[in-house]
Amino acid sequence: MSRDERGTSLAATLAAVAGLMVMALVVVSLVVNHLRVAQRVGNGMQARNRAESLLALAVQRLLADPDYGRARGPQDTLRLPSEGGGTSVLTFNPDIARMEGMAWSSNNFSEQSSSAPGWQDRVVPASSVHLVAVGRFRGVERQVEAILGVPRYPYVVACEGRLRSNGGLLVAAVDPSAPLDGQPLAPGHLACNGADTVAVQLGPHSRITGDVRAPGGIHLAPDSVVEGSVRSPAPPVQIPRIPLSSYDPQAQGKPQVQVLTVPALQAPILEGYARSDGSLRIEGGLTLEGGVLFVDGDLDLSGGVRGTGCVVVTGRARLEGASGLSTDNVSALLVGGDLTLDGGVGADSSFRGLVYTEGRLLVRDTTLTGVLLAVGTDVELHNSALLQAPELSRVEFPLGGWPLTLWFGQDEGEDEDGEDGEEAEGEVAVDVQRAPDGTYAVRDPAEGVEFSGLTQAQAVARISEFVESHTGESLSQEEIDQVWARLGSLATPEAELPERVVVDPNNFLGIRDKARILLWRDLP
Amino acid sequence: MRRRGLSLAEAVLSGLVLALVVAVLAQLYPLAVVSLSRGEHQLQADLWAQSLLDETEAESFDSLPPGQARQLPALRRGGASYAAVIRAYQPPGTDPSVLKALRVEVSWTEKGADRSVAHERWVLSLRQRE
Repeated sequence: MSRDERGTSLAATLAAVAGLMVMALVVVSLVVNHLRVAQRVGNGMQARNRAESLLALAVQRLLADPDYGRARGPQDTLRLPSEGGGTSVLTFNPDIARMEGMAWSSNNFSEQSSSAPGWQDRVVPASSVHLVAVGRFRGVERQVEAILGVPRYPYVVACEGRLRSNGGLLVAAVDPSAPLDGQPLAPGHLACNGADTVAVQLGPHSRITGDVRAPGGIHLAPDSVVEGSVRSPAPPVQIPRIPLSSYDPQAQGKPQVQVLTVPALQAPILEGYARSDGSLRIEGGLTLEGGVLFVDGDLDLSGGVRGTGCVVVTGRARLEGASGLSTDNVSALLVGGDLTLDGGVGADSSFRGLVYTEGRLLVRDTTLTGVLLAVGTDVELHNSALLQAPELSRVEFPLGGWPLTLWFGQDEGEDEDGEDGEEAEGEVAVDVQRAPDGTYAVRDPAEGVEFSGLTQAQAVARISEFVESHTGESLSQEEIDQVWARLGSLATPEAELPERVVVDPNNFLGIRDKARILLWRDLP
Repeated sequence: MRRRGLSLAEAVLSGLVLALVVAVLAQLYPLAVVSLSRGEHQLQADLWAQSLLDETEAESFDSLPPGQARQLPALRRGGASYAAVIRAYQPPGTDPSVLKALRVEVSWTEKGADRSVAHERWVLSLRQRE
C-alpha cells in the first residue's frame, strides 16, 4: 500500500457512518413529522368542537333573546374556556374580532324584509343571524360559521284534523313568477296532525311531489303517487294559530276605518281598513287595493278575490268563482269558522296567497298557490291543486287608500269618510291625505289627478277646482268652511311610509318552533 | 509494486466505529416504530371519537338524555383494541330543551400503558332530527 492509500478503510468507514446517520435523521424526522401531523389533526378536531360548542351556546342565547348582539357592543362577546387549555370566542363586536384575528357575527334577526352587511360585506338576509366562532386548542385554530334563520313555512298543506281527498289532488311547489303550464314541479309537502287510523286519505289520481306525514295512518289509492316519503307515524308539526282579532281594525284602534253598514256589496274595490259589523255578501268579486276587509260574521263571496290585501272573517266563509293568477293578486284569507273555496266545475279558479281556517275546510275545483293552514277539524280537497310558493306563504302589502275622502253633490249630512266605497251618480269624491311635514295632498280619483305639497288654503282651492270641474259649480262658502275644518282635523302621520300589513304564519310561531340552522360549515 | 494489507489498528478502529453506529441506529428503529404506532393509535382514536360525536349528534336530541351514557362495542384496528363511552350531560346554566353536551372518551392499551382521548361538543336540538 502506498503512502497515499493509507487510511482508505477508515475514510470509507466514516463515509458509511455518515450515510447511516443521514438515514437515521430521515427516519427520525419522518417519525416526528408523522406524530406532529397526527397531533395537529386531533387538535384541529378539538378546536373545531370548541368552536361548534360556542356556536351552540350563541344560538341558545339568541333563542332566549333575539336581539342579542344587535348592539355590537363589547359585552356581545362569548368566551368558552375548556379543559386542556382550549378556548373559543364568538363576538358581534368588530373591534374585538380584529383584535382576536377572527370574523365577527351579525344579528339581523329582527329585520323582517331587508338584509344587512356582515363580516367582509357578506349579506346577512332578513330574519337571520350570521354567527362565526373560533376555537383554539394547542396552537391549532378553527373557525366555524352558522346562519340561524327563519325559513318560509315549509308545508303546502298543514292541518290539525283529518284530511280527505276524493281524487285529482296535486300538491307541489312552483315558481309563482313563471307560467304554471310546463313548469317542472318541485317537492311540495303535506302535513297532517290527525292521529286517526286513517288520518290522510288520498283518492285516485292524487300526486304529492314531496312528503306526506301524519301521526295517524295514511291511505293512498292505488294510482295515487307520493314522490317523496310517506312518514307514518310521524310527530305532529307546528301549525300556527293566527289570532283573528289582531287584524280587527276596530280592536287595534286603527284610524280611518271604513265601516260597512250594508249587508251586500256589488263588486267593491277596497283600500285601507274596512270593517263589517255583521255578515256580508259580495257579488261580482272583491278587489283589494292594499285593503283589509274584516267581517265580524259570515261572508259569502262570489266572483273571487283580486288584488292585494287581506280578508278576515270571524264566522264561516264561502268563496265561489275565479280569481286571477296574475302576480298582482296575492291575498290572505283568514277564517274563524268553516271555509269553502268552490271554483265551480270546469272553471279555472285560483287563489294566490295564504288560506287559514279554524273550522272545517272544503276546497273544490280550485288551484291554490301559497300555503293552506287548517287548525280546525277536517279538510276535504276535491279536484284541486295546492301549489307551494314560498314567497306567497307570507303576505305583505302597503295599506292602500287615503285617510280622508270628501264627498260632494249628495244630501247634507251624508258627507262621510269614504263610507261603503261606492260612488253614486252625480257624486264627486276627493281624497285627501297629510304628509309628515304638515302639507296636504289631494287626489281626484275619477281623473287620477293628484297634487301634493299644498298648504291648507291651496288644498281647499284644489278641492274646489276638482268639484267645479265635475259639477260645473264652485263650492259655497259654507262648504269651503266645512272642508277647511275637515282638513284642519286631519292628523299628521308619524311616518312618511304607509303602514304595511303583514300576514305571516311564522309570526305566530314561537322562535324555537320557527328558527332553523340554515348553514353550518367550517370557514377556511 | 508490492501492496501491503490493512493495518490491524485500522481494521479494529473501523470495526468499532461501525459497531457503535449500528448499535445506536438499532436502538432508534424500535423507538421509531413505537412512535409511529403511537401516532397511528392516537389518530385512530381521535377519528373514531369525532365520528361517534357526529353520529350521536345526528340522532334524535332525546335519544341520549343528559346524565346517561352509552358504551360501544370494542373496535379493533391496527393491532389495538379501542373502547368508547359516550356521555351526555347538561352544561351549567344552559337550557335542556335547546342544548346538551356530548363527551366521547376513547381508550386503548399500548405497550401495557392505558391511553385515552376525550372529545366534547355542545349540540343543539335545532340541528338534530326529530
